[in-house]
Amino acid sequence: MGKILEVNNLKTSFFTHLGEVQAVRGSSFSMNEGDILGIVGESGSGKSVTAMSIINLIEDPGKIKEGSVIFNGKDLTKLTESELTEIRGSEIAMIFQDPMTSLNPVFTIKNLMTEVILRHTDMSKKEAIAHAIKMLDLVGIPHPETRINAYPHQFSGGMRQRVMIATALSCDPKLLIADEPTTALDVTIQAQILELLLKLKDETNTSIIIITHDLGVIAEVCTDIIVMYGGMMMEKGTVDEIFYEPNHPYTNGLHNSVPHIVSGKRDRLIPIKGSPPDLMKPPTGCPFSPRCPHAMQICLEEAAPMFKLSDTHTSACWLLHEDAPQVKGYTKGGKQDD
Amino acid sequence: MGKYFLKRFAAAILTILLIATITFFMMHSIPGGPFTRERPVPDSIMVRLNEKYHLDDPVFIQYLDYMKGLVTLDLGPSFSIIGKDVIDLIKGGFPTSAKIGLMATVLIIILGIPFGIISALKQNKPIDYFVMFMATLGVTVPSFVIATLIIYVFAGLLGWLPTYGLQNPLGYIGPVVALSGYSLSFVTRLTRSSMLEVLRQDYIRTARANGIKEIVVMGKHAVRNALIPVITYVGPMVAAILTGSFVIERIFALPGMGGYFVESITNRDYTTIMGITVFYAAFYIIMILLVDVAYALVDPRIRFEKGAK
Ligand SMILES: Nc1ncnc2c1ncn2[C@@H]1O[C@H](COP(=O)(O)OP(=O)(O)OP(=O)(O)O)[C@@H](O)[C@H]1O
Ligand SMILES: [Mg+2]
Repeated sequence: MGKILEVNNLKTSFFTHLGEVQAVRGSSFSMNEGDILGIVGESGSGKSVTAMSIINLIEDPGKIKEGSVIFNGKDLTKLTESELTEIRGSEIAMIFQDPMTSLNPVFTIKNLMTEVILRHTDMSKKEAIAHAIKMLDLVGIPHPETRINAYPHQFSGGMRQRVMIATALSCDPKLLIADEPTTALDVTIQAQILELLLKLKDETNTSIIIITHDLGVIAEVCTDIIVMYGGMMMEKGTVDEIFYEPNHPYTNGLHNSVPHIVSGKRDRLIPIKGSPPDLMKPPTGCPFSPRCPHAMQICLEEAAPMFKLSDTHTSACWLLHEDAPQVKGYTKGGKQDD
Repeated sequence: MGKYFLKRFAAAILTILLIATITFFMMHSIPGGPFTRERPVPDSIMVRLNEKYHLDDPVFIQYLDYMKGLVTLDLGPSFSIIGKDVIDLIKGGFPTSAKIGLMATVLIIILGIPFGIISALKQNKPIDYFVMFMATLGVTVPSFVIATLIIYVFAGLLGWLPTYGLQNPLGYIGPVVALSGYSLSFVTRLTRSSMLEVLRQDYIRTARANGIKEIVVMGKHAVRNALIPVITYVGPMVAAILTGSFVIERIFALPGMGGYFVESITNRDYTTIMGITVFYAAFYIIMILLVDVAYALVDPRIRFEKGAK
């Protein structure tokens, strides 16, 4: 299984009237074919900007300042706009959080879907319609031959998200980026959509990035997880590593603020105190240090490097440095990863 | 769909009858009558005149008579232009008003919408500032000032255009430009702000993320949505341009309906006032009805929401 995506030191900023908003401040990660990568973090941590940076679709006044996004051997940050439009929607597809507003209200589903299919394949109009119907059937829309003529507002939120998924997968992408695909939906529908994504992944062998602020979503479906905070990656590892051996105070904070049901009784939730950093004036040190229960002097002065705990597990926390005081639950002396 | 528009049509007819009624009674509440003159007409003649035109009947009977005529599209004879029916006055004047109004409408649409779109796409660039400056000017300067300026500069100083009348085709330029100034500016601004609003929508991001070419994102996905508020404005605007051309017609001395209307009011020419008012009201209401049809064609949400299944 080859590498499908490699993001190196990605930095994306928005140059607003008030100043530079440093939304993503140096992310690096890679994905193998068939991986399902989860990106988790609270609101404003830079998850969506990371996703949009991958397809190089950062709108004014934003810019990718530094770094590279290697997809299939090509650096997407170096391609021209017309080369990028060839890739978007065909090799890398995306679905968004709010299915109610993400479909153009004045066109039929047929029009919207065939537009994408005709754009990226050699199919005739007729074949494209047949293909769109097949995709709608695949994502579980009943009576796709007639429903394809409907307008977005004639579908429920869950059904619209299925339409979005059908469109996204219609050109057989190698990578699907789902930015909070279930956040706007009912809990029962959320589970159905996730199940659908998993089922489709098995059938098409598409790699998937799922962005969410809900650890619960990620646990069930992902193979790997990145925890983001304040525009930076805090911890990265396999699902088991992030869930059973978390090695970053922020990851621990996230776990404690999610309900766990232990032997039938609910634990008390412990919210993370304080609020996320101002990305206009990001702290020089670790972005989480002002809220961190274990913060040390160095945390305020310098952002921690990624300490390597295993081949797959890295964490940006000074507690892992060999000279750090021993704190229960944190593995000291991980190798610095550079 | 069909049922909905049938209902709308019935409401339109009712509205027209209501407007006719209100106009009728307001007109009769103004002191004096069609034959009141500076130099009084001898009483005996006055009695005969009133008798001839049934002005001696109680107002309510006159009202019923008029409405009876109205439903058979008989607007009656003019009281001041002897020997002419009101319908003839409308037939004589409306084509000129309509021609100028339509030209202005076409100008507004084929310039205003593209200007607005370009301005939105080049937001905060010099071209946007320039277009917005012109549009602000156009909204604030009254049409009669524009008309006067055109006559003064292009007809007077430069001699490129005729000062009045339509004998020379160049004569259309002045009235049409003066008539479109305000709405052209308004449509430009409306299209621009509507376009900017649409460009922020999630479905535009979806189209881009699907690799749709930028020109299609703009021309198909954005413009169709951006035009919805513009359509709402254009319908009543057409009616307003046609009815609002009185002043311009006067300035350029055009043989349109404006002249008749203004005179009919000073002369208390009851039938002409009524005829032109009802005609314009009907015209206005039909335009609004057309807007609704256009609206439903562009925006499926409306089509299905109001559509009788
Ligand atoms: N167009 C923009 N102009 C200015 N700042 C922006 C813009 N888009 C995003 N940002 C800023 O970038 C930061 C990261 O935003 P992003 O949307 O990636 O957060 P997120 O992690 O996806 O959060 P959420 O869970 O709310 O979607 C935020 O502070 C946001 O204010
Ligand atoms: Mg987001």
